[in-house]
Amino acid sequence: MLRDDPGWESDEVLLRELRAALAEERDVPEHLLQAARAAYTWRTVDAELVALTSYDSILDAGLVARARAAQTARQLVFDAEGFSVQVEVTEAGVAGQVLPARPGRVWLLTATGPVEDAELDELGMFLLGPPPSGPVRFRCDVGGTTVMTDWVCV
Amino acid sequence: MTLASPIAVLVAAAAEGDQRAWNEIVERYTPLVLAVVHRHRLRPADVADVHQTVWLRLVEQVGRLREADALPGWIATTTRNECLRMLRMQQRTQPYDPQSEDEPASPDDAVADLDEEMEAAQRRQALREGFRSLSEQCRTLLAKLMADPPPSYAAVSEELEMPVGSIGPTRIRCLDKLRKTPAVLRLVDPHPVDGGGVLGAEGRSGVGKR
Repeated sequence: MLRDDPGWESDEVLLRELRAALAEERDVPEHLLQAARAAYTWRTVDAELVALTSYDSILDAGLVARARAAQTARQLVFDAEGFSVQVEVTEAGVAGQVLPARPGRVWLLTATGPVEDAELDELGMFLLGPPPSGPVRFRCDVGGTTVMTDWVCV
Repeated sequence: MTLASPIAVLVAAAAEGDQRAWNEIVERYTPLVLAVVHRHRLRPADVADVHQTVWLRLVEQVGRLREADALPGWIATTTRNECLRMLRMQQRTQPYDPQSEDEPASPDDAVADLDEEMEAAQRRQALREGFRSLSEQCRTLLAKLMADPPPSYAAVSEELEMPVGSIGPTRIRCLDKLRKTPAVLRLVDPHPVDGGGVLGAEGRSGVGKR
């Protein structure tokens, strides 16, 4: 809902804003459209739970202020009902834990497919190499269930 | 799936696995993503990453949106959050300089500016949606009149084979129709009818089918 009156009762204002709006549409680079269209191949079936990002240290304002100068690990928590994936990302790689701990496997996925995978240990912990740039997500196969996390750039 | 398909129809179809509907959503809303992204002074590679992240996330969410009308707001907010993440990541990897003047003077100011920008971006999105649903005659005439520099009515009259005297009145009528399209009304009218589609047209053809 608009907080400010855009002044659209004036024909001149409306036409000017329409021109700006349509110009934005013309200026879209094709490679971005292609990447967005291709994203649809990641549509998952309902059986797969998606764990949403519930904590990201990079969005933690207090932490950012305190830790400015120091390089700290990026911490992320993904939650689904009764399930969580916690990861810590440093230049050395990704260390994570899937809870509740059960035998299983975790994959690091990019938009073009899986790049690495690791066995979960008895505490549900795993180690992966440094993630590539661009959006990544984790896929966890635990106790016969597949859980995908949100996509996130790390 | 036509150019004028209401967004509710596209969202429902995309949620059911229709790639063409998805492509149409991508084409309509990528300008909104980029309008928000461009306010954040990201590097080109980061722009592409944010853009892709937003669309990858929408793939998961498209079936969960309670109302298709919430889509522009979802896209704008998600894009903004991803830009924020990206900027923070850049700050982390660059040495912090306490003397730097690049710091936002006040986070509140920055947020207020951004709110306005987000609103303007969604407003332009609504205008694109509205424009799309106008008649071809209106779209052609308005497109001509928007040219820079503005053409004379005589030139427009000749190109569109339209009497000079009818250009002014048609322009008024077309802009009025634009103001009354559901996409634009939704943004301006503070009391939308429940279920989206203020005029009911979209409700009949779209939401009711879900």
